[in-house]
Amino acid sequence: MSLTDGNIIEIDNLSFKYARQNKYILKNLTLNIKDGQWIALIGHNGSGKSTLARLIDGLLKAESGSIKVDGYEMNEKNIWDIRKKIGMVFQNPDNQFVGADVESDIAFGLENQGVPREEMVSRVADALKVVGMEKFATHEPARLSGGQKQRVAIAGVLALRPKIIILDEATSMLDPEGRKGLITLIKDLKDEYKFTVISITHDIDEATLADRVIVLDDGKIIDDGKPESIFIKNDELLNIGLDIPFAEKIRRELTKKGVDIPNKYFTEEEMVDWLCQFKQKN
Amino acid sequence: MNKLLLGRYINGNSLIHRMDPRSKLALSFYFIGIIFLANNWQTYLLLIAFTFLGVLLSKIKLSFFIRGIIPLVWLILFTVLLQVFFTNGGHVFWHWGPFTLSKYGLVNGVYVFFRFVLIIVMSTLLTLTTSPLEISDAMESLLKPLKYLKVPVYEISLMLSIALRFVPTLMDETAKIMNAQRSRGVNFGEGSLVEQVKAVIPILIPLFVSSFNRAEDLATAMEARGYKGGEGRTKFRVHVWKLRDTMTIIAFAVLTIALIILKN
Repeated sequence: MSLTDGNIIEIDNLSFKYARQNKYILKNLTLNIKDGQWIALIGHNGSGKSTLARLIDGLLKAESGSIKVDGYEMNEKNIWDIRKKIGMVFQNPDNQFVGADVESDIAFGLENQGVPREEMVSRVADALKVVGMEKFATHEPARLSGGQKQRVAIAGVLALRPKIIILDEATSMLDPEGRKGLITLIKDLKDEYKFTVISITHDIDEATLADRVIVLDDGKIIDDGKPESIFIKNDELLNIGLDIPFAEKIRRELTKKGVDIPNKYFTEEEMVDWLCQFKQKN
Repeated sequence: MNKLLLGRYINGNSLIHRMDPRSKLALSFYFIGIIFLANNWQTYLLLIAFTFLGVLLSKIKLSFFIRGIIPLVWLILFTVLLQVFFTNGGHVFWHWGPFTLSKYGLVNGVYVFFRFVLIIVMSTLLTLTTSPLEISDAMESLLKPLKYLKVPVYEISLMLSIALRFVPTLMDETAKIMNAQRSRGVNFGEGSLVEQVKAVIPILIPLFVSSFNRAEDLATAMEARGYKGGEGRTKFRVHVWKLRDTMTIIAFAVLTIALIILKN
């Protein structure tokens, strides 16, 4: 099916609230996501990020509005087809490990889809290799670190060959090392397999890697754009309780100290380059 | 930490380890059945020899099996004494009220003792050489006929394997909660019985709460990965019936015939 304007996800006028609660978690949200992009969804706790992700995967039912994934309208009939297109990685590494060991966990999703065993074996082996966990194929979860468990979760998702991968704060329970490793891995895999990534995160430095950043506050999109245009408006982010990227913090501090630094957004690399040049000049 | 529950499994690569868990589980139950065929010293000797052969083939130290018997020593002794004092027949050595010590009673006591030990050793052999996961797989496939009675066999086995998978996770969690409560001044394993029971409550409640949260997360994760019940699922872990399984079944058949011939 051809996608309208290359949008893999089309969300129109979506509203959601939990039963027996008056407060809307999401209110009249409209959003299109282009195929193959890396989207960072940021916002403070309770801003509706995770709810949005669960609605896209059909784990929650919208009160009103529509969601279209890869051309399929979200409804009872299409829900399992849509879930096949989406792979989700959740926050807690332990609570999404279903299998008794690494191999059987990766196979879990394949078993659900009724994939024949021979194909399952080769797909599991491939997925293990891709995430660099071949040596751990028969390890139980108790013998793995948090980062390794998340790699297994990603392998489980990759084995299903989804078009969209949603990371629901997938790195938030990892140490900085594990976090960095996981993000690099996903970035590499995205380049290779060309899937769409929606990364829900608190980690602003992680969000700077995205093609597009969407800021959610109180169930509404309050900002949407490239990282460089979002993070230059840092006061707004601070106002809704979010942090600003490390490079941007340095730029602000330097400006305060009276250093003549251009009023534009720097990625971390750009900042390093600029600082080196600055040091040579002075 | 994760040695608890059925986890007495000892990794190995012996003939018994490599057997299909289905045949191991089925034959263990079968053995408990045929042990009741034995009723004289020849048949018991045969069973002991057979069990000992199994133990030898597993290449696991005898001490592990003895450790399996120790917790049940009192039960064995009690049953043996009942047999010894309440069975009549043959030459009576001693008599007092309802108690009699007869030749027949003594012999029966010895038989009951060996019957217990053999059953324990055989089931220990199963749990030592078969991982809990394999046992749960085996149970699923042996219970398969119950599907026709609308028993959700697949779901039961998935529940069992998830429960097993979360044992170490929950053990870690318990340790964490205990430390947290200790740091708040709770004393575990001290004071009167009532105090000790009371000290368990601040462990159990947080453990319950977090288990429910985990269960909800897990259910969401399973659904996101397309789980919609056992219908139409394929299996990744399959067990292959091998020659050694057929051989073992033949050995058990021979044993059964020998027992029938030798028994009184």
